[in-house]
Amino acid sequence: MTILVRLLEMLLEGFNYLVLVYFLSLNFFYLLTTILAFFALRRYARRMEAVDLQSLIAKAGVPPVTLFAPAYNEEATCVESIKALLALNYPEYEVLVINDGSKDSTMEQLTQAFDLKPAARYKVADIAAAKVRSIYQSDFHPNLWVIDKENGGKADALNVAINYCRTPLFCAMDADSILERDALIRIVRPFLEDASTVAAGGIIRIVNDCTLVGGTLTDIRLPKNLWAKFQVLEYLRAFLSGRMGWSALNATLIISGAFGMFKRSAVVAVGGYAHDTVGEDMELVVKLHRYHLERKLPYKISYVPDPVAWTECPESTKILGRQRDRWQRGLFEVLARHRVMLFNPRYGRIGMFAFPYFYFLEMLGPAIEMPGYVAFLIAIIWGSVSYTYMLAFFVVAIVFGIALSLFSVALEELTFRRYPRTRDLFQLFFLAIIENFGYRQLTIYWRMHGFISALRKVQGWGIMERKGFKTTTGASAK
Amino acid sequence: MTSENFLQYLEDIWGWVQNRGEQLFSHFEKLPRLEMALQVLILTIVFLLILTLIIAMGVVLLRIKNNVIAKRYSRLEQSWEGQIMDFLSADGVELTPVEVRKADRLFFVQYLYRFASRLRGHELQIIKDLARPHLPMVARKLQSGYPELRARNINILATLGFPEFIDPIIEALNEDAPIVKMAAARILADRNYPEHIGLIMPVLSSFDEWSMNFLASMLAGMGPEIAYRLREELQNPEGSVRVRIASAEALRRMGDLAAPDIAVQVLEFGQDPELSASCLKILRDMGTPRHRPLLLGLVASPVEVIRIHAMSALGSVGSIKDSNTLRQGLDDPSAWVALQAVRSMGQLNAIELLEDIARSDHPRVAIARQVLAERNHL
Repeated sequence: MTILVRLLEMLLEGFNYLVLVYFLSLNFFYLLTTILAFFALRRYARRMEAVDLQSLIAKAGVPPVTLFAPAYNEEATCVESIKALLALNYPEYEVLVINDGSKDSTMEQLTQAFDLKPAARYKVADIAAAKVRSIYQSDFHPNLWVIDKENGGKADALNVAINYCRTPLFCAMDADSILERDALIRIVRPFLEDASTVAAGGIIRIVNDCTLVGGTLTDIRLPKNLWAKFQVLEYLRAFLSGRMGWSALNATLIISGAFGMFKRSAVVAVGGYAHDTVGEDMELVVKLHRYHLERKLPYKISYVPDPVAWTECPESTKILGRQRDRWQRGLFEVLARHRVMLFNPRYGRIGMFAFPYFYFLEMLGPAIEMPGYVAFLIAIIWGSVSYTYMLAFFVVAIVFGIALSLFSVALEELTFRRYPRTRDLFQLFFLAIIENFGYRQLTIYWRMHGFISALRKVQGWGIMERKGFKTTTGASAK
Repeated sequence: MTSENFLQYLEDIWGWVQNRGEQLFSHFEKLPRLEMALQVLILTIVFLLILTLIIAMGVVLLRIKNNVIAKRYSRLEQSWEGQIMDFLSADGVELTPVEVRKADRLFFVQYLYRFASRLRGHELQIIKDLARPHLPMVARKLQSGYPELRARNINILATLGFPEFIDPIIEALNEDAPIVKMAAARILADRNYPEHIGLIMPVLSSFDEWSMNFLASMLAGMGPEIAYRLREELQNPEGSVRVRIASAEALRRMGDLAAPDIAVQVLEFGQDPELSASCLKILRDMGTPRHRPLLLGLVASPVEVIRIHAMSALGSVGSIKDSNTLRQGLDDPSAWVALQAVRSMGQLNAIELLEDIARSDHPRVAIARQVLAERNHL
């Protein structure tokens, strides 16, 4: 019995050390990416001062682009989103909406709003995808096409769009997202400045409770819903600190499915989006890295912090939980599929640095952190760890988290300043504190749930509910 | 303070730091492990709390500073705008310098720069005259350590001080930073100064990361007077392939009628596929029926990109007799070649043949339907 108790004690102590190593490593990476992001953003801001966007549009020979907007049951937002897409400031582009077998009135709404007529369009690639029912073109906007297809999921819809894409670049986004007017010219810039660029990602911001007039955001504010507010802070951390920092290391591993620009031929070469994962956006980026590194081809994948896609975020714990569960499953599936890259010097800094970070700290993180809470509790009850020590450790974790969140707010204030209300700024401060008491633990729980679902090979996206954009005009698309 | 005193002072400080450090370490050494960890944690908490407070205060101060600057600049802009609009709207009024505080000079020039981008001719000249007294200050800032700022200042000098400040812009062509070099090249690539081509061409090969469209667009913007130089580059078998492609693309954009003959020569040597594709695009846009025999040979090229552009050029310069050759393209393994072949049939007005294909059970029947629809025959 004594041996068993001693063994349990040792296990508990060992696990506590594991949690400590995890905590230190995770925060080391957070700190590193935040510091790198600070310098990269300052450099980027200076660079943007040297670039005249209008001159780029007028004289730089920007390549034609196709926008992919996959839509599944998007009746609440699709018309408004597509109106915004048709008003973008870019010389030559097509909008390809893919109705992925919606069960609601998405197709009817689109047909009515844009006067869609059946049209012929030939496939130029042959990536396997579900059957296309019909193709339509708008009478009022000849650059708007709608492909009505059988349901096959987002990746399938995107693959259909790739098959019908005729431009050298395409922009993948969500049908419920709003792109800022200059977003395309900003995101295409890396492709002009470096011909080896194969993909570039933009920033995602939260649109809940912002006001939209004629497809343009006129009043930007923090959402009223507390869960949505937390997500604003999370997105600032993820995009301004995280992705910017990884991009500075030239190790971008994620481009959000809600807004990314890709070189069509490179995506076709890697076989398009994977159907069998819910993390198809990350999978594509990892695959692009792998393809180019294995063949020693020059390539670049960038993150650009100012082309913005505004998107609606979940406002209920039920939907938010499903989203986080799905993200964690996606991460698991992608990293497990490409685990050959882990600590493999053949894949350079991706294999030796970025991949291990995502593998051990992001993918396995919840499986360490969640039981970590329990183990610490047991350790305290058991008496093997001092209560004061534990408390001090948690305070360090919380204050460090607050400092990182505030630093992201500082980065926003230093660069883009999208939340002009002083009240919003103080709310972000407040959120940085209170998110540590409940919200963070909930996200860990959802991610843990996603981790277990991935182990059990659960499939599917789950249902997302949209409340639609806050608009001040009911003008038709015509 | 003499340098010896200063060194002594530094040594004292260092001694104090060492002393404190030793005290701290000896303090921790005496502690049991857990207590030591606890004290480290408490020190970390204190440090992080101070850091957090500093960040929070920094953000608030930054917000206040940004608001104050924004208000001040908005006030300044309003006052400048009034004066500038007076100058622009009144004919023959003598231009008096706008009063600008020393600290606001760069902002004033940046404001004029933004203003200038919307103006042309006489109005632009007024803006340039207003900026002139401040431009030497901008030229001095070309020594700035940040390449992005140097590029911005190059743009300002180009818009408001061209051609007076041409020398620093030419010097910038020899910069190491690509963004500065490119800013200078884009400015020098001016339609009114074709002689600058002699400065640009030698550095063009160093822009090997920039997109070809970007380079071609820049060269084409210089107008037909530089065509002779581009032809030389295109013809030069020893030249850089990227420069030759950029030259070919620029000649095509200019609609240079002498380019097709050079394109034919390049195609006969058939070196780089991308260069061949650019030459075929020249033939597509400016070729004549006498180029048909060459194109008929190239539609069967083993290289996909050459087949695509040969089909495309044949659609422009060929005749209805070539429809059957193009029809074979429908069976090409590449979907892009097939699409181009059928489009070229459409261009040659081979409607009957297209309708036959559209009615057939060919696996690529949709292309014919698409092309017929594009040409309003469906």
